[in-house]
Amino acid sequence: MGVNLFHELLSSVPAAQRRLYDKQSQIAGQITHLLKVKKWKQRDLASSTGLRESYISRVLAGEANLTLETITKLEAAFDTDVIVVPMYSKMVKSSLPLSRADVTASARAYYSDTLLQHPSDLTKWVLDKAPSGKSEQMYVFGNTEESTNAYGQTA
Amino acid sequence: MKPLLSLESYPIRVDSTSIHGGYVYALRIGDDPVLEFDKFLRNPDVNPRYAKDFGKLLAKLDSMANHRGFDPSEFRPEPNFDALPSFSCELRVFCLRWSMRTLILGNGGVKKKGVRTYQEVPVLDLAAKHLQQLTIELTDQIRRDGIFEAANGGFMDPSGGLIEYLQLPQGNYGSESFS
Repeated sequence: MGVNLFHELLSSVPAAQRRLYDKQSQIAGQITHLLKVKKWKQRDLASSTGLRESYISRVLAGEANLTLETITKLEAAFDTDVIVVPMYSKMVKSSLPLSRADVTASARAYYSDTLLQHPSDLTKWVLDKAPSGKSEQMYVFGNTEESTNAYGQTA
Repeated sequence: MKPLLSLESYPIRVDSTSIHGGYVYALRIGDDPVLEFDKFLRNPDVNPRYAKDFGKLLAKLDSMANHRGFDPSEFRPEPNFDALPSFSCELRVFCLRWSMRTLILGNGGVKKKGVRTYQEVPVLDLAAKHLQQLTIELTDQIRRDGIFEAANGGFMDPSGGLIEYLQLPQGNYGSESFS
């Protein structure tokens, strides 16, 4: 019964508001962790970012509504990401295409028609993303032959 | 005579098998039909009067129980117990943050800005005494009965069964009355 009461009351908090509170807590937790790693005090972070110490204190209490500008100041001070944009990061870093079809689709999604007219640029981009040790033959595009490598050479 | 305390499962975490978040218990005093935390939830001085902070507190508690666990940064340390929330507001929920994965909720109330200590607010003072008693008795019982904590939160009996209800024996220390 008690838990139902809890969830009933919680449901009256708008979903966007709940997300905001959650994000504030996550950022506070992350900054706290980074301070420990750097062995910094709040005042060190304040002087490194140019933010007021009282503001840092609000960030750590999960109360601050941070702007992107402030987040990037914090990221620059810690030299690491404080937030990531997961879908974009996933597209760029994780969903590395492993087949020609994937490469082509992915490349087309990212590159304009103009760039597609310059396959060498696209080749470089795909090869930059390729995990080391992967054969160039896996990253074929612009040519329908399976046996053609990324440089358009026939194996 | 100190009151009889018991803990009851208060599953805010939606998926009990989840490795994320943590397990929540609520404190019951004697045979009181209402759990201590529910007294806070039903307190008209708290909600709707402090609706915004109240909602924020519930949302943070939900997020901790389902995702992040009970990070110390979310709590205010008090002598022998803890308090929610960490953000500045006049609401207080007294609790025992046992670990990152286990939390015991007590009663709470309003500590207005002009009030220096919680001891000046009778409902908070009483809630604090219950939590302090709980800390001692629970530590005792855990040591004596071989109770241990599950990896994803909650207490387990020596055979590995999850404890959803735990009545603590009255400690025989002190004679201070709480009522």
